[in-house]
Amino acid sequence: MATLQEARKTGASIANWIYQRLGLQSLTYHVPAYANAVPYLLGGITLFGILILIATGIYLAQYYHPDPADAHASVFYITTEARLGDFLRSVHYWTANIVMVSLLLHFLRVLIWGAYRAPREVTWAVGVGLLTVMMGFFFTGTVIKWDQEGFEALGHNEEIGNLLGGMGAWFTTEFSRSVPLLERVYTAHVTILPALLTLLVIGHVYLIRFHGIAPRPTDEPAKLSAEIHEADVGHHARGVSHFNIHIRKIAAYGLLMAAFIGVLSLLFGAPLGQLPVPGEEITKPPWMFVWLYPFEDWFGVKSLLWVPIVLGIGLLLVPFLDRFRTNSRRRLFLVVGITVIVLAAMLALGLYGWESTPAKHLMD
Amino acid sequence: MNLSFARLLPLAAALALLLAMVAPARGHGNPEIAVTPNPAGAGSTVTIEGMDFEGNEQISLTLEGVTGETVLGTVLTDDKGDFHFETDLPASAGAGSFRVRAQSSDATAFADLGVTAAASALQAPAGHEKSIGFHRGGPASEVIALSAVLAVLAALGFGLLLWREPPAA
Repeated sequence: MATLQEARKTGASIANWIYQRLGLQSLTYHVPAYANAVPYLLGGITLFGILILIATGIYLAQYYHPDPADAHASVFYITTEARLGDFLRSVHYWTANIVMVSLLLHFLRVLIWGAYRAPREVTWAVGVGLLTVMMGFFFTGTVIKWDQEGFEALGHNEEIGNLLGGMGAWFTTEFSRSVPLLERVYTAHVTILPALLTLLVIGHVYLIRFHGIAPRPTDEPAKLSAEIHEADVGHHARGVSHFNIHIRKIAAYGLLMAAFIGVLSLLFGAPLGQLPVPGEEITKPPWMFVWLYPFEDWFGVKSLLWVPIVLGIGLLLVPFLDRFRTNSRRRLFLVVGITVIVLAAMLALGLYGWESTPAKHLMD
Repeated sequence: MNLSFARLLPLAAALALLLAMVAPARGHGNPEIAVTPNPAGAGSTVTIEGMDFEGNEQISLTLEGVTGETVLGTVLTDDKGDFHFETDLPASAGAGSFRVRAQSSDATAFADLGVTAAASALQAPAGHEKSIGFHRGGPASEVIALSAVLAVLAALGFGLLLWREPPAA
């Protein structure tokens, strides 16, 4: 018994030492207790998923060869020969998909809750930037596996680059004759996008820390200054929690997500199509882009440029278009109504794209 | 130089033996095959023409893909060493680059073949192009070890979720 107590004492003193040396007490600042509910943890869970992607991505980079002649074979090697390669590539694949789902749910929560309102407009804008970067990751990840789907995706990338003229030069083969476009897309996947992601995540987290966690839809009007936040925390009668508990909840759900992804990866491997046949267009975009496919059918590849630009600008303007200062019932009906209509339209477009026969959209 | 018949005879015999050894190869050159149409749709009929194989020899035809290979059939060459073979490509073949291999007992010829998605696959859901059939799971010991790691992750997750702060002293 005494031994157990001594062990506990030793453990506590070690924990205390680590706590003090790393300044972890600074993480015990107040957050509202409702911030530990799942809808408020989705951003953190997404970040946990990104850490899984980084870890598995580093492993995959040890075997992947981004040369058009070898890329597909190297992915095949990863899947069939490299130690745990099939499993870790599948973890990378499933995590990428699940992270996009959690990110979109986080995005919807912020939208419907009205958490973008003053003073959080910039937090929202940085979040839209993060969504764009994550889609960039998904797109470049699709390209670099270098099967038919990836090959056709790169063709679209080039065509959009041409549509942008001088601004789109980076996306075309002509930009660098010494390095193949596939290799530069890979560079974007492993250096440019991660750098952007890191900066945006730091900005997003900083702004959340500065403004505090947004009030619930049922709460009083959003406070207009960061100073009020501390009082705001005290205002919530349901209780006050601490950030370290918030982090622990994120880690808990993140670990459960990791276990779920692991099971998925054991059961269902990441797909890899055959080597591409140049000139053929027989695949469709991944699920998150498939709603754009009908636009491509109707208006050509240029729609893949303009529809996302219009949508992106619309999203950036949301905090300024929302004239409601409170989460009134009228606002909730309006925002939920518009969101449901937009989602239903995207779903319908996605189903159309899903069912339609693949058509040629690229210039030969 | 006086070359008597007795001297020439062994030389002629040696030359005849040498020619006998190389004659079939010289006579037929390098065997070749051609596949039409190319590219072809998965599940569609293609024609494989072969030439310069041995006469009256059995040739096995195989479709090689990144996933592995599929036997397309066997065919007998004619007296000249040529053959003509029609076959249906597997409907399950994914779109991409394949290679047809024609193999006799002593020679092999290859032809690249692009395969486009089958008509049925064109109706398939987005992004669901046929994926290659890996040997999933790996060794049982690996699967068991990974399952154990996943169980630990899940246990840690549940543990953290159920953790309650000790009441302040």
